[in-house]
Amino acid sequence: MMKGFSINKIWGRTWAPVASVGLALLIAAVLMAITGTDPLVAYRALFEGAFLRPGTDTRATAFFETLVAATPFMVLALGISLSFAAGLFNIGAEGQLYMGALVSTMAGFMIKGLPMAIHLPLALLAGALAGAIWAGIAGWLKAARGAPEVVTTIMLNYIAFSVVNYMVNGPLRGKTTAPRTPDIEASAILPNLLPPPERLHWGIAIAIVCGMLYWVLMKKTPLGLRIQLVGSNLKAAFNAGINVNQTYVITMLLSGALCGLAGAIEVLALYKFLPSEFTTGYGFDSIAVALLGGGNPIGIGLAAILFGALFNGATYMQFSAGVSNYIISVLQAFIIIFVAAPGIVRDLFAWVRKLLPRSAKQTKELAS
Amino acid sequence: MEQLLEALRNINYIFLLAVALRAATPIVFAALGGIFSERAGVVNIALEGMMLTSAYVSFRVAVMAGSPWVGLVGGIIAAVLVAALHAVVSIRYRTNQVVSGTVINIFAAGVTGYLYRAFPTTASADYLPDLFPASMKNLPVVGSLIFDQGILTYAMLIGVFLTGLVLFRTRWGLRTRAVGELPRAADTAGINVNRTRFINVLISGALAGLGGAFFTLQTVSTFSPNMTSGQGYIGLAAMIFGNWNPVPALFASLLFTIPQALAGQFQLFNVPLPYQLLSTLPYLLTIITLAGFMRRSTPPAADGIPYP
Amino acid sequence: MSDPLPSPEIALEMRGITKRFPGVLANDNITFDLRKGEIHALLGENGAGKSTLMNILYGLYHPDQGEVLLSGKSVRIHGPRDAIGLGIGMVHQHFMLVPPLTVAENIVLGMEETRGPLLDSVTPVAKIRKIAAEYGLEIDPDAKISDLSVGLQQRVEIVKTLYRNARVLVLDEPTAVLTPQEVEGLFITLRKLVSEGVSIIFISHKLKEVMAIANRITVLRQGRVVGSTTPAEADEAKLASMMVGRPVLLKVDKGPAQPRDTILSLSHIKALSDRRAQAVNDVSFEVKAGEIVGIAGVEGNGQSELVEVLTGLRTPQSGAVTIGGHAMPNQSPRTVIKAGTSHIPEDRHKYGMIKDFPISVNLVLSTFDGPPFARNGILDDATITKQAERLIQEFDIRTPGPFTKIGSLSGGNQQKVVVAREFSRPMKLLIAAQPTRGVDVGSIEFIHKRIVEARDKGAAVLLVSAELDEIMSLSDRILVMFKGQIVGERVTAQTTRQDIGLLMMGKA
Repeated sequence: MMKGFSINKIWGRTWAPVASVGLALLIAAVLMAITGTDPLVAYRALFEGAFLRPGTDTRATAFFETLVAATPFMVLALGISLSFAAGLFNIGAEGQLYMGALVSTMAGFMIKGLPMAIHLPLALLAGALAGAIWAGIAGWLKAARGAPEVVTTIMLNYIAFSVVNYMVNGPLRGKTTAPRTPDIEASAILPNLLPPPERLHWGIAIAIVCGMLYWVLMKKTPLGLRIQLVGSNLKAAFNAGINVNQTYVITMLLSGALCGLAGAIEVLALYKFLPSEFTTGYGFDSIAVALLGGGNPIGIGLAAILFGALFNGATYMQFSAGVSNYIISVLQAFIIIFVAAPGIVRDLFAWVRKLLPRSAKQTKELAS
Repeated sequence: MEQLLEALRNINYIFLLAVALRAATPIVFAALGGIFSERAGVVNIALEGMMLTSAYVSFRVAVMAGSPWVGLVGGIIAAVLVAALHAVVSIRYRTNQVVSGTVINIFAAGVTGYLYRAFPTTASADYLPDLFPASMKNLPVVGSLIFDQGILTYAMLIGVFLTGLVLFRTRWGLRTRAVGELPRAADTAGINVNRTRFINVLISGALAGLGGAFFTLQTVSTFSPNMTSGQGYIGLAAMIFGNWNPVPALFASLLFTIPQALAGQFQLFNVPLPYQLLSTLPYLLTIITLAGFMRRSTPPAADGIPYP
Repeated sequence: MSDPLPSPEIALEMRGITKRFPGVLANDNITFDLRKGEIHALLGENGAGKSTLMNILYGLYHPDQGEVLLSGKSVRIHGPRDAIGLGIGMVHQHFMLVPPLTVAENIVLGMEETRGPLLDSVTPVAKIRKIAAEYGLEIDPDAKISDLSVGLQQRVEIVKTLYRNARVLVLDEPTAVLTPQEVEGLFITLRKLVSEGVSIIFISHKLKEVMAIANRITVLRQGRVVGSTTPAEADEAKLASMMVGRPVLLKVDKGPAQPRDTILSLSHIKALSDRRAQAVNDVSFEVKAGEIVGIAGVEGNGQSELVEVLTGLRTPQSGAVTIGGHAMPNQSPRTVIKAGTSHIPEDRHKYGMIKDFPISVNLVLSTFDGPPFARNGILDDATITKQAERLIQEFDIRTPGPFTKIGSLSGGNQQKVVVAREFSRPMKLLIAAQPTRGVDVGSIEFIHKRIVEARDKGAAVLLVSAELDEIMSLSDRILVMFKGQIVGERVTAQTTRQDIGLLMMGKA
């Protein structure tokens, strides 16, 4: 329906995120330089740690690890973007991920004796369903009671943290010394794509499929159009006979399902049980990924890989270049400020451009 | 069950109220900040991030300067700077105010988390001094409620009064309300809409700064990441429940903290309740309140809409 | 009547004003002067550039070229504050009054007096009372704006300019919201102001009123001055053709109505406004197939809320609605549409269109989720495009193509998209609210013709309009709404503007 692709249009949609990332890298570099680190050394280490370092017998290949880290970012950011499209701000992805992880873990270790073909999809679905319900609560409260989802999803985050904490330390605690659930049955484990020590698993494939489904939903289906119309002009959509409340609930269910699925993938593929200290922070970083991705699945995929690379490369950067890996959170913080207000980047560039010719002129004058 | 009844009989309810008032301090500051900002037409989700920033900076500065007062000033300045960021992004660059606020909260969590871990310290900050002598705190019945509060709690109560006064009895307040209801009317009356909004967002930052300092200069004397734990959002709920008015917002805040204080008392009396689930009480109450009262509230008409 | 021309002393002059907006030349080298103590009418249809010119005078826009002279001296007006300082006052078409604040608060806004740190609420009230007495503009300074009628709100606006010592007063379409009798009252006030030495620019597209009040008339068309004249030299037909650029049909061509079965019936509807006032208070009436029923009334008397109830946008407190024999319990727009209702909403930007989406999508807003536009859960883009091309042709929508975003079209063409969409469905009932607001004369004629055609094809039509002329020329029957109630019913052929005007003020 939205016809006509051109290089200009793609560039128009791309320059802002690219410039934002560039500018954030520059600011973090300045910060590092001030605190006495050579930013070039640090960034080289970051890049190597994220993409280049080869695998060995005991160590996974850097690039594959980046994809492993990118997987939850991508699935979560798709979920968050979906809510953005309807004009909703699901910033409770973290809590939905927790609930997804919790319930899929339960399905993974409490049900026994099923073949993998049934048990694994069941466990994944259980996680998606839990996330859907958790976000659906906020969607329903918005639709039926007008409660702002920005606040309710955050509140539901804190409740989810407590629920998981309680369950893992109480009713679901396994017979281990450290508080955690029992191991998930082998039949519910999401298998690796490559032999160990590689950890790359089928989650990446699930993420890509989710991306494709997202595209089809938004571009080809009445439901997707409905979501976008509600997001664009709620009153006009309602006046045209679109059921706005139902759209809100459906959107939040789908958004939460993706976030819950991300949690399920994490525990079923990587942890294989639910630890007491299950803190990821993915849910918040993914808001940045979603904004950076600009609401389209390819953009989201690229942004997810970028964040995965930062996440994965940071550890290597810390031990090889001695830079605190928390610099990454500063980097991410600036990226999303710039993405949220591309005008800042544009004005900065305009300002620099205005300065440049003058300094060039001055150089000339000095030379002559 | 017996233990529960036993506890209910023995709880000192005045003391309970004192605890609840103390716990309400940052929530009320956030609510007051929200009132200034939203009465002027700028939705302020970023209060959480402003409080977190102030909690960190006031702790750091208090330790470095050896004075909690200097720390308090530092915290307020830092929160105002974060507020300025929200104002620039949402007013100057017209970014959706909810997006701006959310982004700033992530920004604040990222930056404070980085600084906390990159420059570790074992030092603790001195508390802000008490206002009343110990003898008055031990006065029977109301000693704990009236005289045994931290200085920021008294500041909060004064803040509630001043907010009402400024909003409804001063030129600034009149202009603020006009700008938040019908900015075009204010504009045609010669008022600079966006400047008025900008300054109100800065005021909300200063109030959030006081609220943030509560965590490190009146409660625990050290910083931990994300220690504001959603209280900025709860403050927004209190603001909504109070229909953007300061005194009702204070009572709404108490509504959120009294049950939690009660739960604390139960634990003291060994009532067997899962503490992890009790800690969700303020969050649950916030959700219930929003679900019950959002439709009955009337936000400022231009709240959240950039001008022009 | 036309007064003798006042002294030729020039109070204000605008010279060579040019203002461009993206894609539009709103003002093209406009020169205009205002003599001291005269009423100078600025006549033109929607989009002619009148409001742009006045917003430049008031400092809300800055001209690309040209200058403004006050008493012969060139002045720079950077914003409303400068304009106010120079003694220019403006009563905007949409009142600039903050509803929850009081009359006094609204009047002093921007030039408040203080006592120490607090507002002085005594001095301004005294000053307001003095102005009110002097000009016969009685108002209660402590009343809340939201409790005042539109006529009183306009009075507050005029007092507001006088409070700021305005010597040049601009009134933008001041009669649009008034009854004929209130218009008379306004004219008396304006003449009084003029006799006190105030100079007035009177912006309007209504020929009769311009003829009645102005000393001079300047006509704008497509951003240019077409010519200047006086009421003595011109007549309505001449002004109309100057305004539009061709002779205009001043009457709608339609035969007598042939009412058949009842399509819409409502009984005892009560509804609250957004501010929880009793906006609709026990309204009952019926509309039959083949007739146009007009609801007349000053804006703000519950018409908007009534339409919102009928179209499912607002939940009534009590009462029942039946459309085409189907009861509408808990009506939502969806059920109302399914019952065969088409709705032209009064605020198309809010309710009628989704500006960031293409015309093609906007044309299928209510129908895209089923055949023929979607099959098996997949959108059929080709059919949607074909539909768009057909409707663009049929409704003469001026656009580069079906994929142009609707937001970039002119007001008239946007409204045609809304009309095309609503007329493209089988229609038993048409609810048209302010169907020609903010639309050029060509589009008005087109839309009026379509509404009459719909009636003749057997639709029941409910027309709600604040333009009494539109009500009088289109409706077969007229209901008058005042303070949330239907206070009178007339057959159009047997009534007069004056009669309806009295009803609109609740005096009958």
